[in-house]
Amino acid sequence: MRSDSSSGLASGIATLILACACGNLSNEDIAFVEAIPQKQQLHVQVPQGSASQNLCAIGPADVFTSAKTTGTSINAGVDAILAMVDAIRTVTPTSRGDDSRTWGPFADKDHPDVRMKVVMVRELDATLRPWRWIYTISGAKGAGPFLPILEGEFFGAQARKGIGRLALHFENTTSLGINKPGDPAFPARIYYDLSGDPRTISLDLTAGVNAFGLISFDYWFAGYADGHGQFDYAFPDPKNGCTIFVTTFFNAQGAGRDVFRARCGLIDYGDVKQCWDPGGCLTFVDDPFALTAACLLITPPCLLGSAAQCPAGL
Amino acid sequence: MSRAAPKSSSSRSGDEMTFARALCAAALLVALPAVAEARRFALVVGDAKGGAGTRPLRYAERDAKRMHAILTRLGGVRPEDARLLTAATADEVRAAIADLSERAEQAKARGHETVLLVYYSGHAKDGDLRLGDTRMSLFELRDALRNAPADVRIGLLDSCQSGAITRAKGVRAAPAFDVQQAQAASTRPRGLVLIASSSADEESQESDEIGASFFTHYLASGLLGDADSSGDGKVTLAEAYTYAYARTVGETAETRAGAQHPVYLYDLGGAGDVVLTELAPARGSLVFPVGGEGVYVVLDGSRRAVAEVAKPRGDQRRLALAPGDYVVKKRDGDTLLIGSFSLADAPVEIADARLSRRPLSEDPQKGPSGPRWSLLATGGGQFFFDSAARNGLFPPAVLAGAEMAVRDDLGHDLAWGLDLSVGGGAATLTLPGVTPIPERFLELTGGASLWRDFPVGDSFTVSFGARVAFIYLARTFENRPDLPSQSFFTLTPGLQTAFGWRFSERWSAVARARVNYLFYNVDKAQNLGYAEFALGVDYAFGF
Repeated sequence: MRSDSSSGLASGIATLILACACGNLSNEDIAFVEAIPQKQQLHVQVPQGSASQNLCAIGPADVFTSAKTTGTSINAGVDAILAMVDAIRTVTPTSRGDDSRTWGPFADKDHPDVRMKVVMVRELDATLRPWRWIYTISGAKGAGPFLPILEGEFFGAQARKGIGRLALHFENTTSLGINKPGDPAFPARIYYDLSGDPRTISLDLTAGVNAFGLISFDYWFAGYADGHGQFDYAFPDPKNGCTIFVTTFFNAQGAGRDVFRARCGLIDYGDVKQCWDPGGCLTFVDDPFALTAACLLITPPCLLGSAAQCPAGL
Repeated sequence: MSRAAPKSSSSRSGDEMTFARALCAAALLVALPAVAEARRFALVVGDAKGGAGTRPLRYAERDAKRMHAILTRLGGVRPEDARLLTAATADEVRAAIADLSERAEQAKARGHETVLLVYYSGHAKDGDLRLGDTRMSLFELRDALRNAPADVRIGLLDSCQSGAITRAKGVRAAPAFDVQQAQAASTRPRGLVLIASSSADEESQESDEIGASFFTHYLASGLLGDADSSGDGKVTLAEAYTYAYARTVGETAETRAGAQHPVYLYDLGGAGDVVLTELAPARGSLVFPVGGEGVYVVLDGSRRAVAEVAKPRGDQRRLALAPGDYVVKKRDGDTLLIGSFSLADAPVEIADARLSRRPLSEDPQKGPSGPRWSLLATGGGQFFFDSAARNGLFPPAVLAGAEMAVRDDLGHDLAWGLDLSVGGGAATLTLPGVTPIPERFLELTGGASLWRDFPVGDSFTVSFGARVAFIYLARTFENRPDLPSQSFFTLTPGLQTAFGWRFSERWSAVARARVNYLFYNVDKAQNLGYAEFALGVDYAFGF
């Protein structure tokens, strides 16, 4: 004889079903994550070109070399901040709302006394499609208040082809004690438009000085799908105390041209025009003040090579 | 010389037993030593299959083998005079009867008293013995026995509605032979006796607990000695029948099919009864002394019941079993008395004092096939009804799995099973404004099912049941290492149906469909449903 406990079994099964439905299988989570930019999407991408500059007839393209170094520096600074954003991708949200996700608070793995929290909210348009995403990463030290470390806003559905901005609150990372050496102590802002060709990225460091080894400047990069682009930046030249303002144009092969000015005190010197080949060697120099290294022994104006050697289309 | 009925629930059998005992005693007074000068021939037939419209019997062949062993060991049938047929055709049975009849005629010509015994365990329906896809009329068998040249012809039929074989003679369900006519005669018994396990409108029942048909089990137990109510070391036809009748009626009284009443046709002239088994020649025996009381069940080495002794206090019983190791058990209230014994040439006394007391949960008895196990291998697919759910979350999946099923464990035609399937596939996650994201997913699902089989003819089965399963699904996004892997686990109750086609003794083809409910609660609480379809092959173990 076997007892019939079907009613008890049914209620037990119902309880188990409700209790055991667990996991992170979520399309909406993917939608939220897709609205967050990735590091490489906000990188300045200057072609590396060739390193065989010792064989250059006129001389190496120092300015272009500087552009690559500057781009790397900016990329490193962006990476340091967006590493926090990337971390979100691998963590299941702590709570979910219809149009929001929250991660944390949880202890920062490198700073156990600091708690981190991420809140992400989306806004829907009339057709219930998301049109704006707002996210904030904030941190709190001990029992202190949460301070925003990164604030972002994005328009579109997918960061890789949308428009957005980020505010990097280095002043708060500094006060929380989670900043890294070389970080500025003032806010930096990134604006990006990845919705078309070219994609543009702008780094606004005008709120302070000496960030990432650059001066206060609105750095601007435009990259085209075929690999050519434009990169505007400025840096202090320790050799002469002047500030160099550079506008570079380059193609996918690494050849390009630039126009730069040197501001020394109250006097501007320029415009200096240069072209270089994919090997990083100057092919043309038009330097009215002989500021170019290849023109040191030449009485100004310095005119080297031929403008016909400049890459076409830039 | 009273014998206790195994159950008091059958007052009818109890009354008849009183009458039977009187008749048996009278018969025994004039019983002649038929074995001594007799030459006995036995045809033992066991056939599990009965062709279209029948389900395979589980114990028919084992019953036949058991009877064959008893008849050749205790029944005076020489091995060369015995035929054991399993899975035989009607023509093979006819040929065997003809062969044994010829041998009996030759023996008779040499001056032997001859006995021809035919035992059949299998299907019978609509007046025919069903031997696989072939048939043999019950009346054909009766006439074959009637016309056989042996002095005594005995037919023992353990099959449904087998009592029809006696119908022509106006059979009556009765516990013992009416031997008054025989008492008046002066010659040795001659004629025909037909014994059927059930009346013409009754089913003959098998028992998973004892691992045999009721009738054959008690007939065998009686032949081994428990029917020797006279205590003379011989079990006569009347004693065996009386015993088998009482025990069969008593033990089937509370079954779902109802009480089963063996019947007989007695057309025996001459004097005395026919001795079916003699216990004395047996090398050893289990002896149940006078002090014991109750039903003792004897299990063989594989823990299958081989005999029972229903013993009243004050009687001694003896079972002439073949040498070997046995376990004897007796239920005593809410406990069991159990003992193991090794039987050789000497008698072994089974006294309660030699049995140890155990809880009922330690009952060692198993049916020979008891629960029937089978393994089903399947391939199929899974499909969620909700189109939004199919978008990346639960895409259509291909599944391969296996299910271990146990039938007739919880009840007749009831089955339960445990299954496990693994599968997965590739899909594309589509989100508004987002480039479609390819994904790969892995699924693991398993569950426990309970269902009922509905036989359709001999080879087909339709089943309906319920299942509680778990489902685990994990997905990764191809070429998108920046996106997290995701997973989900839950329990899903459901219903299932299956259609099976048994194309060989052990193999079946199965088509199965399931409908399940799934509660999804990550993005939002959703009640989802999905279907699973599978084709597979099933292999039946045991038998």
